[in-house]
Amino acid sequence: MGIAALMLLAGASVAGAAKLNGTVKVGNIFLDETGDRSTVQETFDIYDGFAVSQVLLDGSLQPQSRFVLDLRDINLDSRQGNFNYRLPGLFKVRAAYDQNRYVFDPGRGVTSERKNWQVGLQVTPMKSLVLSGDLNRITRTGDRLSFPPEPGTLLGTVSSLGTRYDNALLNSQFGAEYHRGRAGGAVSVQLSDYSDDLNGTADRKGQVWAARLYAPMPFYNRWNNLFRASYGTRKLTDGGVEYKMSSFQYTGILAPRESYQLRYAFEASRVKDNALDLQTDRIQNDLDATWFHKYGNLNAGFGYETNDDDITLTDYMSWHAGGSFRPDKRLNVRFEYNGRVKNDQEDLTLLKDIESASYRGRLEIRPNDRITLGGEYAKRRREMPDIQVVVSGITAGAFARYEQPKWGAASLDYTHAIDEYDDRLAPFNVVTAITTARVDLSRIKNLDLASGVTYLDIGRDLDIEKSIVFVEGGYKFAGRYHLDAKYNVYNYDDYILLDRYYTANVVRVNLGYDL
Amino acid sequence: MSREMALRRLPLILALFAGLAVLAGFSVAKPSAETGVHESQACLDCHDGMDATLVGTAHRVTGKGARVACTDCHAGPSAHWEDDPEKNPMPNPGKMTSTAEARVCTQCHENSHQQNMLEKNVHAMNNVACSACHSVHGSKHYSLLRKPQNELCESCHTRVAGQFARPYRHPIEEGVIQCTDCHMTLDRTTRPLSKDGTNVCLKCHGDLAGPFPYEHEATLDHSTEEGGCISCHDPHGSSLPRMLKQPYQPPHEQLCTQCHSIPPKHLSNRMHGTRWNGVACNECHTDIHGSYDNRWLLSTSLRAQGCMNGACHGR
Repeated sequence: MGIAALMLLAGASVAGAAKLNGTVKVGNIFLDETGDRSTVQETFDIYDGFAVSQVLLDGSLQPQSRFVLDLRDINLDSRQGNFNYRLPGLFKVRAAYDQNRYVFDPGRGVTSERKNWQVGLQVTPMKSLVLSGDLNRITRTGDRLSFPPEPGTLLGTVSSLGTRYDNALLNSQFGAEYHRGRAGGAVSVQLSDYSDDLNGTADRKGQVWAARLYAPMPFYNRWNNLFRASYGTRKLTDGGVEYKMSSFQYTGILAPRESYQLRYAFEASRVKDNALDLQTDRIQNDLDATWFHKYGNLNAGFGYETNDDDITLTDYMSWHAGGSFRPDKRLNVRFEYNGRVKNDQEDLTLLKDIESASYRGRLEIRPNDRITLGGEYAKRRREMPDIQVVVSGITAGAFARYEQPKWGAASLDYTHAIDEYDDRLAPFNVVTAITTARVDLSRIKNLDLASGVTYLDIGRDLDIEKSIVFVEGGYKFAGRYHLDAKYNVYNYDDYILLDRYYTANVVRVNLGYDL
Repeated sequence: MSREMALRRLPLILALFAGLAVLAGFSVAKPSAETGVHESQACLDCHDGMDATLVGTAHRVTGKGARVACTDCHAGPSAHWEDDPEKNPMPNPGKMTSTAEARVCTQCHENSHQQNMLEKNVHAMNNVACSACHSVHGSKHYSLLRKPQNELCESCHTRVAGQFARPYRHPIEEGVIQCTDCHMTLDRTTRPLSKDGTNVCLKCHGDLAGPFPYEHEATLDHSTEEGGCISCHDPHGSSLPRMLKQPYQPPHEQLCTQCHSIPPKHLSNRMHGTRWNGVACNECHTDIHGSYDNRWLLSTSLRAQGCMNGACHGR
């Protein structure tokens, strides 16, 4: 239905179009697979057979307007569509639709399907006033595996989510924004409505009313002030159980000179949760300063936060420091440090005190306009000493890119991640290595070629290997025609956790015609 | 004045302050260069064809309804066109620092997106200017982006791109969702209601949104227990099903034991012996996102088996 509506829009647009460009592509998908179909997400939405792969229309109804309609896989259950029409600076309308499925079982017999409709409208009756509205409806239907998964259950227990989906979530937002120069304000209301045909007790409605104001004062361009306030509720339709949420925020940005910036942010929020019978008050203060220089910048900041929920009282202190060094476009270095400490003043939370810290550095070098080399290193640690839990991780990566004008480009990325977790029960450690490489060639006239590989090796307490290889080519001929072909191989092997494997060969061939 | 009364009046005082600030702000706000439209034709006399890359966008400088002039962005001395252009060059925002360029763009685009950039200035601080993502002259992508959105983000955030190669992840590559569905949402006014970003998740995962009559505090981002979806899930990608950070099945049960110690009676007691030793927590505690039935988040199917009849597992 979503695509049908978009096609109607397309028909109306094309009929009135003053100018029209576009592309139509049709083709076939060949899918050959073996093993557990629930292992590789990339193939969940690949369907064997004839495909109307793309209808792209780009045109205008009058000289100053523009519309773009992009429909993909129209005849398949992975169809997507986008429509945009705009009179720049005056009017914008957007509609979108997509559907996709999730596969739960090895034989692809247990699947659920999500459908997503979006409509948005923005009107600018005068330069300083913007009115907008958005609607988004998401439905999910179909089957799912029971949770906990069969056949492992001893008791035959099933969660209240059951083994089927049939729910819908409608989100909408309406707003108005007025500004004059750099001062302005906005109001918005956001509504949500969730309904579950299989579990009526889960039906709920929510609303959030919000306002924001911003103003440069008292020194124009030197001191900006932002204020926000919001109030919202979310409640079960029949149960009377609800959250009431409110917040106030102030952010002040002071830039006495172009090279200095001082930022202060204050936030106070309250959530009344009558299921827990608790009212949580949170107050947060953040202060940070940045010094900008033509060769980079330095920054540092400090934050203090308290959370009071009638029973427990916790406070947090956080700090960060970092900077960058960019003497010219050939070199870019960045580094940062973040730390945070939670103090459970009454020792009543489950996690008690928490200490965490992270470091990160990134280096990018461009020895010439064609080559980019770089690397990144990040380290993090989070410790809960009272319950003896330590979570830590290191990520190191390197990348290289090469571009040769009129020939093409090549890139290589490698990431090595170590994630370690330890608690009173046992450790759980995973090492992940991810390699990605890609080559693009455009040397031959009317022919574009590309090939690439992504390889994952996940080890230690898990033992998983996954790879994706592709080769693709596009050839333009007879002026407006083009032939595209793409070959993909997906491989997945899980030797420990679930002992499953999967291999798929996918070929997609399309013949295109430019309007 | 008692402390309580002072606190009660605080919102009123803050609102008054905010109102005054905005009134003062309006009074000092400089109008953008609305009067400059007529100057664009003078520019095009020399820079012939430059307006072609702006046709069909809000930045068009010619034609009916044009609201922008070349000099709104390239604001320089009139001597550039009146006297010697070489000696009086016009500035190019794309070659300014990120903050200076943002100042040019915010003459018109002082919306919530700009405020996000100003407020959480990670991009600006790293000299990632507006023009690093948006191309005013000649882009055919939505919002004048230089590339399709996900590709654009991943071109700098290479580490995150690697995370999306993991087996269980959000469908970014398939185009089902985009980076900005979760990050840098255009209207941040509603996000303050979420401490850890959980409200962002609930835009799509409505079935897990709550409120539940019996909550699991770890799922609540207003909880003092460091709550929120990311306590258990890694939204960019995980090696474990359901994007879990830790496994929940024996022998690795760290998903639950990162917060809970296993009560000794679960391992051995006089009614069941050691029957439940080594059994995954969620065999019984199935409703881990919150329950409509009981405070222990137990499966309602246990009721039919009589487990809740006695004092042990009753409400």
